[in-house]
Amino acid sequence: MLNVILKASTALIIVCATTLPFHSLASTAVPKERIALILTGSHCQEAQQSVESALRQTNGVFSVDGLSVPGHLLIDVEGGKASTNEILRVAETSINISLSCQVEMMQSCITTPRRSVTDARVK
Amino acid sequence: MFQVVEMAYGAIVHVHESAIPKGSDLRVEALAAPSVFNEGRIETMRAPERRFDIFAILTGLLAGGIALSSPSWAKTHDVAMTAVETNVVIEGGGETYAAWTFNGTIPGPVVRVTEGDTINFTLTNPATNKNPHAMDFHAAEIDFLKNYRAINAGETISFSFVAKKPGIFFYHCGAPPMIQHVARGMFGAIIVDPKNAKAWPKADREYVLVQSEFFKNPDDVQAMFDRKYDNVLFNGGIFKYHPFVTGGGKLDAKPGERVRIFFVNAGPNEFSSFHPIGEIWDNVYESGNPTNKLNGVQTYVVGPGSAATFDVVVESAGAYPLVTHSLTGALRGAIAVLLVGPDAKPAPLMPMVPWVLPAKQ
Repeated sequence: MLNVILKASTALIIVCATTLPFHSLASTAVPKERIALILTGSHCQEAQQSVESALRQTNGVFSVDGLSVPGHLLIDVEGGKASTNEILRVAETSINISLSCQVEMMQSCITTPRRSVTDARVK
Repeated sequence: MFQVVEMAYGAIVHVHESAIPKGSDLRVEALAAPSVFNEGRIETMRAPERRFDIFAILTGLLAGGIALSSPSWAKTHDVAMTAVETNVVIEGGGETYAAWTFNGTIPGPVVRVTEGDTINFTLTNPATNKNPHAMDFHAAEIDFLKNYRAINAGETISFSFVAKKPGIFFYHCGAPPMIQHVARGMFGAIIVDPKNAKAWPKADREYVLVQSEFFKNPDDVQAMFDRKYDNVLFNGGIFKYHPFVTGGGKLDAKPGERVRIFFVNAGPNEFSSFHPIGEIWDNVYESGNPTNKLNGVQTYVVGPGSAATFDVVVESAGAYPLVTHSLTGALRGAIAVLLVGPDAKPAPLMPMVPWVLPAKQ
């Protein structure tokens, strides 16, 4: 039985491998950029839902993830359709003025250079 | 403790001493398979104060199909891999790369056995492939010429070995040019757990991380020789476990858990200086062997083709990036964020392999 499964899996892998086109680097999806925002303040839990909702309605926003990293929003935008400043502005203005919650760009020692894979080559 | 009995033709039988009555001869009678046992000759060894005939044990071992070179408690594993030349997702924006792989992923599958186990390995190179491929297990101690030779498309090779030493070991393709086969993704990790599980603290959570260099032009072998890499990968992806980067994920843990990282540096050329930002490695085990133990280590260098096991116990919730502190490597992709929180869920040894990107919300 195990042998049958193994052979079937192998055959499937081979079929997949032989039907895919070969090239070095190719884009299979719309180019995206992730913008990370940090929320700080005593009312951010209350404010987060309205921020996420506003961001999802913004043109060019692909997805908004408020769960993966506590206190942060991870926003994927389609390349060129929404600037970092625009995303930040939408987030700031969506917070009720009575709530204590500040939105900033997340920056740290693991912030990566903003460049594509293909121009990162060592010269 | 085991008594080791070496037969005339070189086969080795391990017998647990608790099975040997005191005051007996340790007698090995090779009767069951003349072709294997050198024409059925009898070898006798003297064990002080012990007298014991292990014919019944040997017969039982043979009937059970257990390899003679393994201890009686050891297992035999049939491991089959296929060399797959295919495109794989290399970064979170969906870029793909013309990789050469074991079983279609970078890294290949994690092989996990226990010290003393036998691995019967088979590599298939499908006729649809364009290149020869091979397998080199760093966990094995066997003849390289016979076992690690390259096979052409349409061929299969098999060999067996006993995983005699515990640890975390590299495996890779050795077909020429080996630098290209490794650079294009033909590598992985084999964990050989110590037969004594108490040889080190029990881990609450385990991950395998394999570092490698990425060359955007897979056919530019000269760039590989010249170390002109474009990115550095963990588990075959650029910033695969960096949640602040497009498509990036994370590694999860709960506060107080002992997180064990089985770390392999596939290279092909660069050294890794593995460091947990915001933490200190509680223990590092060179080659993953529990007897090679270091305490309180900030960074630990793992060379290409080498490996080590890293334990960290994170007390407080938060984010703890695991990086190569060779910063050109970290900022080109070798950052894995360990996110520690009370809601951390169980995770596989190598999350996000293969890298499947989420659909639009």
